[in-house]
Amino acid sequence: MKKIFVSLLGISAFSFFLTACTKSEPDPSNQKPTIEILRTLPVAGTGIVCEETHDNVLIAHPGETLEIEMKLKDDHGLSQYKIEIHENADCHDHDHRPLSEWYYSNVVDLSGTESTKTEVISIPDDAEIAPYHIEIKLIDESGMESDELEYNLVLES
Amino acid sequence: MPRILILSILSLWGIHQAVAQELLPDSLMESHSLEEVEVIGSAATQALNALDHQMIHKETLLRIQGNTLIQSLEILPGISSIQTGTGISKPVIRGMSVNRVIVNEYGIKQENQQWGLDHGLEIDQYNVEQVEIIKGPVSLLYGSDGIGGVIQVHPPKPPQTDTSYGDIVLNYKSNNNLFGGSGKWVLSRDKWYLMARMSYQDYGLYQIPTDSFTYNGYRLPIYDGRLKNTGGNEWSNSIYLGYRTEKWSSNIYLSNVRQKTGFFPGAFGIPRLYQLQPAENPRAIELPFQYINHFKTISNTQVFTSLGVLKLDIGYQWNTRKEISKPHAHGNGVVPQGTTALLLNLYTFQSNLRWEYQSPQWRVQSGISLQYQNNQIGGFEFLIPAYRQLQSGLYVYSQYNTPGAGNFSAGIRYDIAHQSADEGTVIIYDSTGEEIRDQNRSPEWHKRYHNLSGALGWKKDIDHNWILSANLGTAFRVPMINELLANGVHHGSFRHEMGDTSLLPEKGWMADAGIDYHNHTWHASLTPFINYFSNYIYLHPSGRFSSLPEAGQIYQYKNTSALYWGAEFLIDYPVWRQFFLTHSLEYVYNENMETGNGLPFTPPMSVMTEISWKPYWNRNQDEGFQCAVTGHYFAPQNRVDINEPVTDGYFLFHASASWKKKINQDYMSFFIKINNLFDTYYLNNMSRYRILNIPEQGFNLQFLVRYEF
Repeated sequence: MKKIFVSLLGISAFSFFLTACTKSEPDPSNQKPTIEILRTLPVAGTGIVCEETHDNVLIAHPGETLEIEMKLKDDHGLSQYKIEIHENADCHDHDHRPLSEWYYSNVVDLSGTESTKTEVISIPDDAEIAPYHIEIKLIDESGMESDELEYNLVLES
Repeated sequence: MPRILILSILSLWGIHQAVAQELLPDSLMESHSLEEVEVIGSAATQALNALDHQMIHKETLLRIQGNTLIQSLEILPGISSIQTGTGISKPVIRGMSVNRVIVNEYGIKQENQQWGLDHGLEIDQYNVEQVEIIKGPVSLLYGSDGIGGVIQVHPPKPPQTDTSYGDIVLNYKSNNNLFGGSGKWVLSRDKWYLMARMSYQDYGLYQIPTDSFTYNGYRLPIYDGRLKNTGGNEWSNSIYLGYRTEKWSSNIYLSNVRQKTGFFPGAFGIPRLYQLQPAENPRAIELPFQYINHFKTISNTQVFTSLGVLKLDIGYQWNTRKEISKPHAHGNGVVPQGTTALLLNLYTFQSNLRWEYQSPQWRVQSGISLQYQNNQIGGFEFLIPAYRQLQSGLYVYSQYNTPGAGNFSAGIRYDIAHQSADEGTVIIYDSTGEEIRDQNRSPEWHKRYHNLSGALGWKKDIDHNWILSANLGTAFRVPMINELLANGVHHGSFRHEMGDTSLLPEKGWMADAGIDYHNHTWHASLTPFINYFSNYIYLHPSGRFSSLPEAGQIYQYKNTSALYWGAEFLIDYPVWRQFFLTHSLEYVYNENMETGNGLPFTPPMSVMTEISWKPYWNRNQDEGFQCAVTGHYFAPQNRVDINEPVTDGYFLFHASASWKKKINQDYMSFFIKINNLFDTYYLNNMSRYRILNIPEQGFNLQFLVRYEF
């Protein structure tokens, strides 16, 4: 019986030791990069897209220019950001054949730990009148990804 | 290396000595015949006897009632799984998964695109009579992929002559409204026997203990606490025909497993509110989903001769994997493939010939294995090219039993492999469905590999109470086609996965040990291990974006040096009178030695304690009642790879009861199990939905009835 108690004590000590080992904190020196939007043209407001109310809606017209000014930050070193605009006419049901082929994608190289960039996007004259998504992603040199930022772009005639 | 050579020479000498011995008397050989068939699967166990291995039988599997076979095996320390919802689990042994773990059914390695994290296992859980798990390097017997270990599903025991019996199993799980049923029928006449099983199960959406989840700073709803489109079904049929005589036995096994599993639509691209609205029919499987059909036919033959047993396993498998979703590539037109995003058809032919010889002191096993694969692709997404792969290995494994110093084993294996892949191209269509151009994704590829590997083992029994064992071996794994040539967005993982043709084969050194104590009442074991890899292959975040539409970061396969160490501990102990305690612990530490970070999908340390009650009045082989409560603690997982979130620890409670009763000549068994008794909210870092901050299954009342006639 005594033997058993000794072994149980041993196991518990071993468990405790291993638990203690795993309690190490994640490397605090490698944080996600961040995107802070300084300005958008047009200004983001509230609107209804796909029957849901959103507060990140940009309303624009074909032939106009979009501008997004961003402050990008990382604790170690920035690598790239990517902006994509794709159509959301069917509320992401993707069943239909897209009428307009406007799809925008741009990957921009970055350096340093802080950078302010303005993305200027010309909307083609023949872009389909529809809602779109604007997605902005940021990545640092080590491969840490930022939270994704999303806007709803609504093109009106 | 010289030591291995010396030992292999020694072992070859051993074969010579063994063969040179006089032929064994007939009476000794007879014991090989029918009984030997019953322990058909244990040849590997005997050869690799210094490695930690455990056997789980059907009754235990029925008591555990995991969502999948692999999830059921998780009760063993050192075994965990990578999950996608309730229907898909991938085995993980000591933190190693995908192509580092072999699943073997009836002597043939399951080939099912096992490199994918959301590629589950096509084995009918109801059809598993006994499954054996060997932890540690088994490559010597099983070839390139056996670095982490093997999960071996053994064939059922052949029936006695001129009998007929069967069973019927019915199963219900409350959490996802699973209904399952399975029936088996066995018939034997003279030297022939036939076993057939048919199983079906269908499950709905699973329930999680929350009504919302947070992703990207947005709070998104979970309607009715059920995760949308996570239902599925599984339909399995198998037939096994055997013939046996005193001198030889042979069988043929045909099986087909078909699975259809829905994916949570929020896991495909950014989850959006309108994707999460409940469906009209929650049991209907909508897009996106996975469809798999795995057909196989296996033949096992063994011939008992005076010079040992000759075994031949031949297998043919056809794995179809379809990942169905709507085309996501914006700016592109409608694709002629419709909704088939990824189609992979993998045809595998295998044959393993081995010879086993045993004398009181020597045991020798030698074999040659051959595997040929042909993979064909389709669908509108490109991930891996069409390829052909030939692998062959030759090995000798020998054991020598000394009266004083224990049992020594040594083995040596030579492998060759040849890969050849077609150029991978994708056709880009415009909005009218016309072809615009071809996009090249992966180059034509031809490569040969060869490798010599070895292993040493030692095992000693001291005073019939202690068993000590130790193993040392080299690890070798041929890079898979996806690691070399993948170039595309893996369905549901957002990220662009890219191969690297300059990858070197995975190589390393692996050592483990075992300390086992047992007496007539209790048992304890400790199995530490340490592995070092000079060329460990893993998916590395590149820090660069993909130019493909809606794709995030490029993840590239890369060689790194890596260290794994850890241990499992297990104790079975009668606490007091009719109460028994099982306490187990598992721990894996790993390090990518180039970055200092952990490797992705590493199981957290966990401690499980189970107290069971097996009353005296009802404890025999035929009938019995038992019940148990289980507490399972999982430590926080803070050792993660770059861009992999840390996960908090959690504590789960389960309860179970089972009762078996003899009715005339038949048996009736009832199994009740409650998983996650307190409906605990927890995130599991081994779950594919963890990235969306979606918790795991809540309270689940499971009920299973088995009638054996």
